Amino acid sequence: MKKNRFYRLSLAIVFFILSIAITLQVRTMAKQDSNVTQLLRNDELKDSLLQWEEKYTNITAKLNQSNKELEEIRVSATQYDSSSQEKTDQLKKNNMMLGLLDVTGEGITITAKDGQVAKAADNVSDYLVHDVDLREIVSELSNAGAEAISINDQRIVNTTCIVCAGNVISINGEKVTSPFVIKAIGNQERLYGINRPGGYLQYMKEYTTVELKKSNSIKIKKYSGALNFKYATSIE
Amino acid sequence: MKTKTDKNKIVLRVTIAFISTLLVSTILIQFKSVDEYRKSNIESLREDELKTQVATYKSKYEEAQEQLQSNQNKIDEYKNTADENAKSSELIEEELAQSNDLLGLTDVKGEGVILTLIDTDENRYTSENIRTLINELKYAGAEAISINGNRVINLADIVTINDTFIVMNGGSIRLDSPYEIKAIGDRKYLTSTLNMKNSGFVDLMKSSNLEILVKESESITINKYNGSIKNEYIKEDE
Repeated sequence: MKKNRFYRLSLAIVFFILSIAITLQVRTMAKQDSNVTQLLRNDELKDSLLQWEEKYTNITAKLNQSNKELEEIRVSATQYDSSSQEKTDQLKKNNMMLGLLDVTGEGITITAKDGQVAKAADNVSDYLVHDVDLREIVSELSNAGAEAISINDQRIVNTTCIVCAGNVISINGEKVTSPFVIKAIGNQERLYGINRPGGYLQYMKEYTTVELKKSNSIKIKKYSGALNFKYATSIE
Repeated sequence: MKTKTDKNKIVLRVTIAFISTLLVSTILIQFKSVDEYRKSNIESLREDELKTQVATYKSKYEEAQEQLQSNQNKIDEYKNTADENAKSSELIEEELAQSNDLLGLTDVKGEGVILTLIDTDENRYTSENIRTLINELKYAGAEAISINGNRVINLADIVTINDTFIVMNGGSIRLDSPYEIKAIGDRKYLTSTLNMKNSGFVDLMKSSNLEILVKESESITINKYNGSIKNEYIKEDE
């Protein structure tokens, strides 16, 4: 009799656990269903991302072509008029400063790489080059008179933002990753001063790898997008 | 009598065995599906990121499209006026004016936001805070920005000197609290970006005991850059 009761009790427990497991399962399955649609949506998003990327690449190629054409026709239309020629030259200078032309000149290259984690207990994030580091470097280089700056070939223009997108950094909406190659054109001695003792680079070097190189000829690519005002209008 | 109980017992045991097998197999299936659920969970984390990227490319595409259209119009105009010097000089003037606007060499107006940043007894604004704000404003599409009346041009520097002063434009302008920052752009988008819960600039500053006020405006005027933009070292790379 006693044995029989023990038997029933253990059966009851086993079934109780099993029914809980089943309830859990049913719930997960319900959730999973919505996840399947999510996965499908992600695939769609990926497809649409690829499409937009391709469309963007195509249109920038066209834009490049039309920029060249515009410059040629501008030169030929103003060639017999000296005041117009001056304006054409000024426009070219403006476009260099806006970041709309490839430029070259003396300057420095800074390469910043994520560091190696020294001890397992350390925080990995400490060893990464962050968006805030890149903004600090851009600001310091500007302070030292930089006339053009790019990070991994992304030209810094008036609309440029350097933001953290998940675990990567995005500049001009394009993803950039370590090693970060920062090029700046300007007086190379002054720009090199960013490496001064007590400066931000010295602080960065504690955790990450930072190298500087002066050069007589740095080439910086133009911004591939377009710049225009939608909300601002100039007042005379 | 005895055989009947035995038969009953056998039926009972078989039923129990059958139910148990069923239950165990459902559990096994469950483990598998829970595992898959985790995987798809990681996948779904990327959805927001994907959406942002699609939106970014879309807006960049649209911008390029507009630029292409405006280039085409200019090319057509130049072609049409190829014989008339007067007209082509008007066109070049127009283009030059446009690029001066973009450089920040003209006063501009438009809708936007005005922010006031005030140091408190507990905490003071740093140059890094201000740079972060400028970056956020650009992220939200600001077209023209000024700090205490000084236009922020491309490659404007905002740095701290001697751990005390915040200066901009090569150290020629000293900035002090209260900092008034004006930005022209889509005012709804600017304010919603700044006011994003927890991660937005306003909440971040408030949680550091700093004072910040945000005001939308239909019409903001931002003065032009006072200096001249240097181009001693850059040459076109042909």
